[in-house]
Amino acid sequence: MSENPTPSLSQYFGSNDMNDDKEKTIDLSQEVGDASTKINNLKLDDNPPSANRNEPEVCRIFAETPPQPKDRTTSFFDLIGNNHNVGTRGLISDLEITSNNDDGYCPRVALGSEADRRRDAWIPSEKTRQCLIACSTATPGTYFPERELLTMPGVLLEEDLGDNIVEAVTLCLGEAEAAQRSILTESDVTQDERGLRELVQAGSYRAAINLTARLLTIYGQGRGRAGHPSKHSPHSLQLWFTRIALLVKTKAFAVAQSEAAPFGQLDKPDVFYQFYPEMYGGRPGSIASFSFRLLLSELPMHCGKPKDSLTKLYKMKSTIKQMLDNLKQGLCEDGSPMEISESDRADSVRLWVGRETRVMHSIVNCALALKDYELAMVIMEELCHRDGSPRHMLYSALGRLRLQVGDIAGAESCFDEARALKGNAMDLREYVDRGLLAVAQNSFDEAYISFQQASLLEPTNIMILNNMGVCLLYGGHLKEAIKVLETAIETNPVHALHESLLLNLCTLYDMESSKGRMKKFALLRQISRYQADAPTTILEKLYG
Amino acid sequence: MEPDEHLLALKVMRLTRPTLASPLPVTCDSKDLPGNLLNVALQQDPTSVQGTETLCTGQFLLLPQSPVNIYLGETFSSYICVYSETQQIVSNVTVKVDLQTSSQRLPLSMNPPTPQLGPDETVNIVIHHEVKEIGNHILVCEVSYQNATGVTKSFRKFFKIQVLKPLDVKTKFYNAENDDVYLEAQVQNITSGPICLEKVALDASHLFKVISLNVTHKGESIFGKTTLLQPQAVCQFLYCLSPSEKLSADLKSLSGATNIGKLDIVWRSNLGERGRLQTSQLQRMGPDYGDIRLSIIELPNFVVLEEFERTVELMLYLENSDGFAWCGISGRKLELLLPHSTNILEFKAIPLIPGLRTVSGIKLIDTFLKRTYTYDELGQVFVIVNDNVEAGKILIG
Repeated sequence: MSENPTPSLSQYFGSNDMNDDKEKTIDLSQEVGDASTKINNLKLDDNPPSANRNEPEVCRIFAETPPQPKDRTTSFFDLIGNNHNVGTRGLISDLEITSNNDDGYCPRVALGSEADRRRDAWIPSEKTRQCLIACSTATPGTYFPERELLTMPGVLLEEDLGDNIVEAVTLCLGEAEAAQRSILTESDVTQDERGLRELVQAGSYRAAINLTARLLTIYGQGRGRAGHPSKHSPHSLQLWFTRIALLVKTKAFAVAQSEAAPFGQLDKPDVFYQFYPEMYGGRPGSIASFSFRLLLSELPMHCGKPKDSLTKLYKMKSTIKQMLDNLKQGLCEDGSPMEISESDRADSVRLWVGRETRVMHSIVNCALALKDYELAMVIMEELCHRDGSPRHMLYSALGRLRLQVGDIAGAESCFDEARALKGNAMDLREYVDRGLLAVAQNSFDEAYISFQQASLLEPTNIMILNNMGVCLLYGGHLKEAIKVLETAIETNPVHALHESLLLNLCTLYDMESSKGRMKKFALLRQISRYQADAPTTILEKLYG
Repeated sequence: MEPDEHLLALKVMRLTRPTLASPLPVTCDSKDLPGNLLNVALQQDPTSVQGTETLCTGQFLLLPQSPVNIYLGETFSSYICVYSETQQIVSNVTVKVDLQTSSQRLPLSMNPPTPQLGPDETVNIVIHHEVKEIGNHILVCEVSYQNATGVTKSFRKFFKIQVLKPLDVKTKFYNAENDDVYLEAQVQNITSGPICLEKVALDASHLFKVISLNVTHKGESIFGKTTLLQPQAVCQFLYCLSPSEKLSADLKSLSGATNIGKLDIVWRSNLGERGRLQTSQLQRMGPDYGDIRLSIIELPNFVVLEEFERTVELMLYLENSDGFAWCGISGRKLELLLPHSTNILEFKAIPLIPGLRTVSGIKLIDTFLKRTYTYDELGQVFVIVNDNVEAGKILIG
C-alpha cells in the first residue's frame, strides 16, 4: 500500500509524482474503483464497446483466493508519473492514448509537455543525429533515408502460443481435468491495449503475447513483416516493448532475441520524434521508452551473452551521465540550449539519476550472471554511497552477495552496517539475513530458528516458509520440510505456486517415496487451477 | 538389486549448500503500456527482496538442482532416506553407510535399528564427512530389515563420487644473505567456480619464526576486503622466516634445517561451502656453506650508476658478471687466513646497467689444495641512474 513506510524502489527513481500525498489517503477499494474508471476512460475510438465494459475480470481464475491487495505499489516504481493532471493511482496507469489519432498517440502542442521531454530525452549517436538534422531541415517529402537506417521489425513467432499448462494437464490428468481449466485468453478481451493489460494483470502472459502479435499487424509489423519498412509510433513501440518484456518473462529468450534484433540499440533515426517532423513538429526525443531501451540492453544476458549486455548497459550509463552533465551545465538533457525552469531541471536530474541507478542495478545483475563478483561488489558499494539510496537495504544486499561467494566475515560486517543504519528493533530483514548467515556457517538448526522468528512477524511470507522448509531438510526432517512447503501453497496458492518453490518441493517429493509422482500431479492440478501461466521447465519437472 | 523386490527403498541426495534464487527483473514506468503491472508482478514474486527488487541478490533458498563437484578438503554431506513401499509393518530396520576410498573403508553412520517402520514412515540419516583423498569414492548404503514373517532381508546401494583437486599450490624459497628464508606460495584455484580464500597461513616449524608479508602495517589484507579467486586465477603469498637464535648460531644445523612448515588453507565457495587443505611439510634446499663461508656484512641496497676509481686491496679471482665490473686486480694472494679467524676484505665494483643486479663472481682458490671455492649470488643490489655521484661499497667478510 502506498502508506507502507517501507522503502520501495520508487526511492531509487526519484519519483516526482505529485499525487503521492493525495494518494495516501485513498483506501484500497477507492483505488480499485478509480482504476476501473481509468480503464474505462482508456477507450480507443476504434473500439467503442470497450467503453461500456465493466471492470476487467482479472480475478477470473483466482476466484477462490482472497483478493490480493491489488495495488500495493501505486507509486512503487512509478518514476515518471509526473504529468500532473493525470492520476496514476490506478492499477493501470493512463497511457494518454485517448486521442483519436490513428496510432493512439496524442500529438502535443508544439514541443510536447515538459514531462514528455524529460521522459523521452535521449542522445542519439552522431550518425543518427546527423540524419535527424537532415530530416527536420529538409523540405517535407524530400528526404528519404537509406534503408539501413530503418528499423524494420516483424513478428517472427510462426504460431500463437498455446496454453502449456492445459497440455501438461491433458497429458497427465486427462481431458476431463483439462476441460475444467478456465483462463483468460486473447479472445476474451478487447483487441486493444486495455485488453492487453487485462491479460498481463491476470498473468496470462502467453495470451498477451499472442494479442501483441495481432495488434502489431495493424502497424504492418505482424507475422512475416520483418525486413519491411513501416512507421513507428509511441504506441507501436510500446506494443513491442510489452511483447518482448513478456517473452522474457516467459523465458522465451531465443524468440525475444530474434524479434528484438531489428531494434538494435534503439539508435536508428526512425525511433526518434525528429524523424517525423510533419507529425510531431519539432519535438525531440526517443519514441522508444527508457524501459524498452533497458530491456534490450539486458536481453543478451538472458541469452547466455552477459558480456554483450555489460557493454550495452555501460553505454547506457555513459549516455545518462552525459545527459546529467548537460543538465548541470544549464543545457537540455540532449545538450541543446533550451530554457528549462529550475524546478523542471531539478525534476529532470532526479528522474535521470533514478534511471542511472536502475541501470546500475542491471549492471550488478549482469556481473552476477558473469560471476564477476568483484565488479558486482564494486557497483554495490557505489550504489550504497549514492544520495538518497536505501542504504540499509543495499548493505543487506551486499551482505548476501558476499555470502554467495563465501565471504562470511565480509557478509557479517555488511549486515552489521545495515543494522546500524536501520537502528530499530530486529525486523524481518534482519532475521532473514541472520538465517542466511547461519546457513553459510552450516548451522541449519540456528538458521531455522531465525527464519521461524521472521515468520512470527509475517506468518504467510512464502519466502520465509520456503527457507524454513529447506533448513528442515538439512537437519534431517524431510517430512516436516514437505509439510511447511505444502502449507505455504495451501495458504497462498496464487503466489506460492512459484517455480523455485515448486523445484524445492519436487526435490523433496523425489526423496520421500515412490509416490512422489502422484504428489507432483496434485501440484499440477493446483497450478492448473490457480495459474494462468507457468514456465515449461517446471511443468516438465512435474510430469517428467 | 531391484528395489521392488524389497519392502523398503532408499534414496540419497547430496546436500551441497542451497543457492539463493532471485527473479528476473523486468520493470517499466507507469507511462509504459503495461503500467505498473510488471512491477507489481515483480514485487509479488516470492523470490524478490522487498526494497531491492531489481537486484538479483536473493534470499530465497533453492535446493541444489544439479550435481556439484566435490573437492578434496570439502565436507561431503548427504541425506539418506529409507522409506517403506508396503502396507506391512517392517521391523528392525538398520541402515549402514560406509565410504569406500581407494585405500580404506570408512564407516559414516551406523544408526541404532529402528524397531518398527510403518507404511509412509521413513528413516532419515544425514551424514557429513570431510574428504581426504582424491579420486573415486563409493558411498555404500546397506539396509537390512525383517519382514512381517520375521525373515531378515537386506540390500545395498552404491553411489560413485569423484573427488577432485581444488587448489594448486606452488612454492619457491629464497635463502637470503642474512639467513632469513623467504617463501613465495602461489595458490591457484582449479575448481570450476570462484572461491573465496578465508585463511592462508604458514604453520612454521619450531626452528623458524614466521612473519606474513601479506598484510599492511595496519593489519589489513593486501588483497582487499575479500580474497576472491576466479577459476584458474592465482594469488601469491609471501612469508619471511627467521631462524631461531639457536639455529643461526650453528651453521651445520642451519644448513640442515630444510623443513619449513605447512601451509594451511581454508576456502569457501557457494553460500559458505567450506574446504580446508594443509600442504605436506614444505622443504627448502638447505644452503651449502662448504668449508669456508663467505657472507656479506654490509651491502648497500641502492648504488648509483657512476664510474669511480678505486683499488682493491686484495685479491683473489674476480669474474665480471652480468651488469657489474669488479674494480681491482684479479688473481692476487690474500693474507694468510688463520684457523677460526676471519679476514675482512673490501671489494669495489662498478655497476654497468641499471636494475636489480646480482653480486657474483668471487672465487677463492686454496693454493695448497688447489681447491676452488666459487661464491655466486652473494646478494642483490638495485642499480639506479642518478646524477649524484656516490660510491657504492661492498664489504665482504
